[in-house]
Amino acid sequence: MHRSELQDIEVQLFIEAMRLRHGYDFRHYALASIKRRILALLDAFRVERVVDLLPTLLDDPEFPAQAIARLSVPVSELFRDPEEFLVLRERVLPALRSWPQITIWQAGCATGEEVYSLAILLSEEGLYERCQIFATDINDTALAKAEEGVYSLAHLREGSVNYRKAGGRFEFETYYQTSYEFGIIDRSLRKNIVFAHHNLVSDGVFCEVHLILCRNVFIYFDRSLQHRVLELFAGSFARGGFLCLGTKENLFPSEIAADFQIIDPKRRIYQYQPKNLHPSPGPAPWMPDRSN
Amino acid sequence: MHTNFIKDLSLRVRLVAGFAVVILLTWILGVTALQRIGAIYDITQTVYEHPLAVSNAALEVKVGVWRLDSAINNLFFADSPARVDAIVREVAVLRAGLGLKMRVIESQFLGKSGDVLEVYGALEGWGRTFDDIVALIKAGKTAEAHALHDSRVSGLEAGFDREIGDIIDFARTKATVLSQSALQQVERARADLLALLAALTLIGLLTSLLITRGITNSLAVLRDRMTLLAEGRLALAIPFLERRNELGGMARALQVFKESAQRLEDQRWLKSHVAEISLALQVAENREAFGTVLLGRLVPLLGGGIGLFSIRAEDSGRFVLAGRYGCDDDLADDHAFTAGLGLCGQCVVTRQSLLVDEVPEDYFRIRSGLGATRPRTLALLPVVSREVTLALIEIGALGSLTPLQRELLEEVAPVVALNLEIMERNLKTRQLLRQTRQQAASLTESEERLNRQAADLEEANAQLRVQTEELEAQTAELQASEEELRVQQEQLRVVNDQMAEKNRILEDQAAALRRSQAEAEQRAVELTLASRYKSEFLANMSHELRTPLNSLLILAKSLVGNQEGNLNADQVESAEIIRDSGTQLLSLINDILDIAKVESGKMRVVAEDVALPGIADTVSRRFKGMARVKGLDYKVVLAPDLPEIVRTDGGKIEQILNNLVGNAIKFTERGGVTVTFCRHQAGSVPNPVGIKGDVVAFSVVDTGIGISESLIDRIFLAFEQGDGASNRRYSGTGLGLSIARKLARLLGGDIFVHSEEGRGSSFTLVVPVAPPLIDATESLPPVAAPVPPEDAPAVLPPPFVPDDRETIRGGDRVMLVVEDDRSFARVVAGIVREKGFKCLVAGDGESAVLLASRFHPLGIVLDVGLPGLDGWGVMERLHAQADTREIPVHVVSGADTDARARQMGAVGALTKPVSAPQIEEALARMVRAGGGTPPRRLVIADADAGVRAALAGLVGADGVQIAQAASGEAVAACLRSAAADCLVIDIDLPGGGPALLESLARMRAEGLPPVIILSDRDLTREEASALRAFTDTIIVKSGRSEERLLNEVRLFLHAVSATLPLGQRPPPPPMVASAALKALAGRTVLVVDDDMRNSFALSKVLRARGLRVLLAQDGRKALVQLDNNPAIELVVMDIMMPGMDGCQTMREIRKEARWAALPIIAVTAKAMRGDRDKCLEAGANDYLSKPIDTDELFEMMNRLIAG
Repeated sequence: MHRSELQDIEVQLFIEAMRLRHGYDFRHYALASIKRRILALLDAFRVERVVDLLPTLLDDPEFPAQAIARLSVPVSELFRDPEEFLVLRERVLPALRSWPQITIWQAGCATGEEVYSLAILLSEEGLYERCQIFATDINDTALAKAEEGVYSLAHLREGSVNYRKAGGRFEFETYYQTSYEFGIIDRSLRKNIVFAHHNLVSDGVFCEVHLILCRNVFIYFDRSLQHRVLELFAGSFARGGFLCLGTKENLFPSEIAADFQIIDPKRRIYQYQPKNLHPSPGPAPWMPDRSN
Repeated sequence: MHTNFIKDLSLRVRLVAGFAVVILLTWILGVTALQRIGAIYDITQTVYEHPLAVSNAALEVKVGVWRLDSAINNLFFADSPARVDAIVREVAVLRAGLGLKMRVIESQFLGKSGDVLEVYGALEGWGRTFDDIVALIKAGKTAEAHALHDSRVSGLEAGFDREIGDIIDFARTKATVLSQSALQQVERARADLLALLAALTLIGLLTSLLITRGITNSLAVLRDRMTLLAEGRLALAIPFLERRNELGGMARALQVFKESAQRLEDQRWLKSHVAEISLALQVAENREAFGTVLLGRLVPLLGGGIGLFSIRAEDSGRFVLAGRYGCDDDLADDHAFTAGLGLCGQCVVTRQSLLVDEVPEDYFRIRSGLGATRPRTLALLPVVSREVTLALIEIGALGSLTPLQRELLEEVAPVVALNLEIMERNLKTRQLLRQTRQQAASLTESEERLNRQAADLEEANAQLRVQTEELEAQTAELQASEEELRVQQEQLRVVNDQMAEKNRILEDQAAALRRSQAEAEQRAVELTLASRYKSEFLANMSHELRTPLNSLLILAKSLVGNQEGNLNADQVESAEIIRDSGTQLLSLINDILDIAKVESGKMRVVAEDVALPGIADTVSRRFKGMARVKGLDYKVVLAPDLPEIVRTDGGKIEQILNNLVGNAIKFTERGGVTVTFCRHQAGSVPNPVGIKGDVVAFSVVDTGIGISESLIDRIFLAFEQGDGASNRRYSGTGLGLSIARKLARLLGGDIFVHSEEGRGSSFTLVVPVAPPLIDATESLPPVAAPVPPEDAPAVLPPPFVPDDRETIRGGDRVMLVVEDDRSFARVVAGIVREKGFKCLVAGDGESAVLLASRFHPLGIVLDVGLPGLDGWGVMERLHAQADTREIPVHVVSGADTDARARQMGAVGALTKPVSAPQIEEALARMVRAGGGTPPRRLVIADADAGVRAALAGLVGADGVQIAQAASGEAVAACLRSAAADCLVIDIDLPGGGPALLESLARMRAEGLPPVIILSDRDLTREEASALRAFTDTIIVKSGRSEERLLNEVRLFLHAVSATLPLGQRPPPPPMVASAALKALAGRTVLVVDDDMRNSFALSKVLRARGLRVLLAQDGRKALVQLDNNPAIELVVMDIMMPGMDGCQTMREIRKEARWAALPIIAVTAKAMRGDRDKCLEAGANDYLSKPIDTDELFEMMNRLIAG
């Protein structure tokens, strides 16, 4: 048998073992990507083959935390894709203003740059005080970083450039305090943000939201999982809520996708306008099937 | 012999004897003392008994005599004889007492007895005197008495005193003598006892001295010996060994001790010397030193004067000299031997030491400066290790060897062997060590070189590691972004692929379209052909059918006749049914034949010159009778401009007119039917087939039931209406109109209809005056033969249960309930009315179909198990009729029929038993499925008329009725007058706010319509949450709020009440509540959730079950609520909340003892076991996943509090 075929089998075993042992289900991640990420684990755990990871996977309850930190792809920068933030500022936030209380869900917040960018945007638009932001991720390591809100100065300088492009009119430097090589995001920007672990694959709706940012997450999922997540979002949305996807992402046509109207096709911003008044309950709770 | 005997006496015997002597002496002393005491006692006793007793008695007698004397004196003074007698008695007693005393004196007195007799005599004298005096007194001779007294008494007194004085004096003298003798006795005793004591003491001292000396002296000797032995002077002899007493035993034990001490000393000597030698040998570094040391130590110990030490040469059997002691040089120099040769050699071989005593005179000599002597003993000692003789020691001694010395030799040999071996080995080791050291030195050198290199390397490594870490970090970032890029690329590729796929699909579709176009064309041709074949087949078939049918009809007719008279009424009726059905079937077959003929092109048009009056005549005559029977006014009118002759197929014209007129009469109950023949100029009538030139129109106008607008297009179509309910009622095949139109078209003309329901219809046949002779097969589109609906009012059956059929007006929202169970039908009807619908109820399938056709309800709730026509049959019938086909049906059945119901086109199916909410949902579904709804009513409430107008302008649309209200009261009034579909209320409306909404909700049974709150200011969280109980649509006015308002209004106006979100729907009436659920009623529950949608939805459900619900939006508030409301029995706790999350809150709750047992149900969006375990660890009793399954929730609550 060809080596790569064997490797595919090993990857399947790994994915299955993660699901059975720890309840993390990567079966519906985009296969090519998750395979590359799993192979990248080999170096980190200093083993030769994917199957060599299995004993650790099975025996060590801490394995998922370590593995997921490497399996997920926490790439972000402040005001990344500035045009999208510009559209948010100009098109979405004015519409959000009509709700007395605004709940925002950043699904897949990685190391938090985006959610702080959003917080800056909201505070400049005078909406921050009535916002409750939930920033969730599957990667606890990244979440911890996000909650710290500490970034390298290089990172922050990059953000400053993006901020201008995203229509920023103030001093970006006022949003963080520097010490040594790092800057820490201002406390006032963090007070309405809750960072929490949430697995889009398995977990359910946790509250009613008006804006969901879920950028560059769908690209890692296969079609059925994308559909599941969209159901989750539909179940979470208040009528007229907004969904922002990454620029390379699309909604696959489906019954649920039909409830999302395109607001800005280029920036992948959608509005949830369900055809009936029934709030969707979201996808059924997902129970990990275990045999222990 | 005698002394030996004493010495052999045991110590015990000696001690016992000594003590016996002492006890004996003590006894002697004691007895002597007692004897002396006895003697003294006797003397004392005598002193007491004689002199003392006698002198006492004498004194008493003396006193007695004085008392006698006084008694005599008394006599003289006695004044009465009685008194005298008393004195006499007294004196008698006194004299008796004196007698007694006198006897005592008499017995004890040691002096002369004459003295005593004298006293007696004196006493006698007293007595006599007294008696005489008494006698004198009694005789009254007092004077004589006195005289007597005086004469005798003084003599008596003197004599008595003398006598008694003598006695007393004697007694006193006697006592003094006795006392003297007692004193002498005591003195003697004292002297005796002192002498005896001194003697005894002397004897005791002597005895103990004797015994003590006998014991202690010997013990002292033994003790001295022991001390000396302990000091190591073992040579001393032990005394008393021969004695047969304890001392002898002690001495013998001491002897044993001495001997073992001697042995120990020998051993110690041996061991210490062996050890010493061993120690000395260990120091030796080579063989010579070894030999010298060995001999230097060993030889003196053996009392030797000469010694040699030979060691086996390394790899040969020869032994060479390695040390010597006291030897002459020449003797030793060539001393070397081989094993087995000579005495030494022998000794080597036997490996036994060899002792030679009495060495011969000339053997060898031991020399010193003073002289030389021969040794007495020669000792050869082989040094053996592991059965190999390593060396030989040869020693010449001056005396013979003591056993101890021999032992020393034996002991020392193995030690020497061992040390020799060790030394040999050390020698080798040392050599090796030397080599090793040299190697080590060179190694150290190279190692240092290596170390230096290693240090350099490490430094380089450290640098590298730092670089690597930096690189790794960069790589990780790079990898991550690369990953994202790659994934995005993949995504793009997928999208591209999709695009390509879509393009391909589009192309394919285009190609497919082209193909299907071609196919369609082809198919059309084929269809025409097929249709024609089919029709031909039908035509033939009809003929074939007619034949057996005819015989059937004939036989049935004859049966109906019952000529034999052997059929009963039922059988005749059956036969009639057969006949009628047969007749119907025959006419149907005829019609089908006609259609088939037309379609298959077999129907030929025979164009001839037709005289229209003739046709008019025929038509008139044919229906006159029928019209008369029905009481209708029937006439055929010919227009004046009518051409006499028309070139067409007269037969076909007749057939068409027969059909039209027949129908007209059939469907007209009152009024009349008028047939008019007239001519129309070209272009004056609608002309779909493009008739050129003049036409003749034959119109049939009736005043019958007419045809509804919606059905008018269908009356020529709808072959499938053949089994419609009305057909049967009115008989006929229903194919007539279809055939008529086909024939008309065959003639180059057409039929047009105009009708008004309830007013009548007019059918107009138009044919060209000069028809083009056309081929039917080419000109007619091959359509399926339609059948006109028999749109006649059917007689409705009486209502199954009272319903709203009498009150239904146009525009009412009507639901039909088909249910044969009367009570359930009533229940469902109740729910339907409650939801604001009018309700129809049918108890069987037939009436259901009739009611459906008549009232066109918005939906039908259909039971499957019905008498006669069952639910499925009803659905088929409804589907078969065009006007009922679109009515949504929701099946309710005793069995699970979901799949079949959906197959049949039902919008849903429920399995009995069903709940009110399920019925409501079914109604809502049908309304959704049905689409169209009557106009909607919108109430706009704002204090400002301008704002109201603006809003009305914004949201106004067709079919929307807008009411305006300026205050809360006005809104209430609006709602009281009519239901509204949506309320738009300004937040600051006077009399508005949550209170208004609350009262509105109470006012109307069906609850609030959807409410939109408009606000031009920001709301606090509390305000929002207070409003949230009534609406989830709060719009804060902003640049983009109008858009949202419009969306929301549109959404609500196009929904129906049953589909309202949970929060706004009136609570479902509690259904038959189980005992368990009743147990929950009245309990108090705290719902903790920051999400208002969740908490209000949940509280509605809980309140509907009769629970008291308190809300808290975060953990802190939950704690406050718990503190303020001790009645809370259960907490439903959301986990993900800002600030203090659910787990923290639970931990806080559990910290308080009073809440330790409070049941808590955690609600979590998280599905993984670990997350759930966290809830339980934090103190939850159980958990539920979102979205909450209410059944599960109630089951859990039951378990936790109701049980």
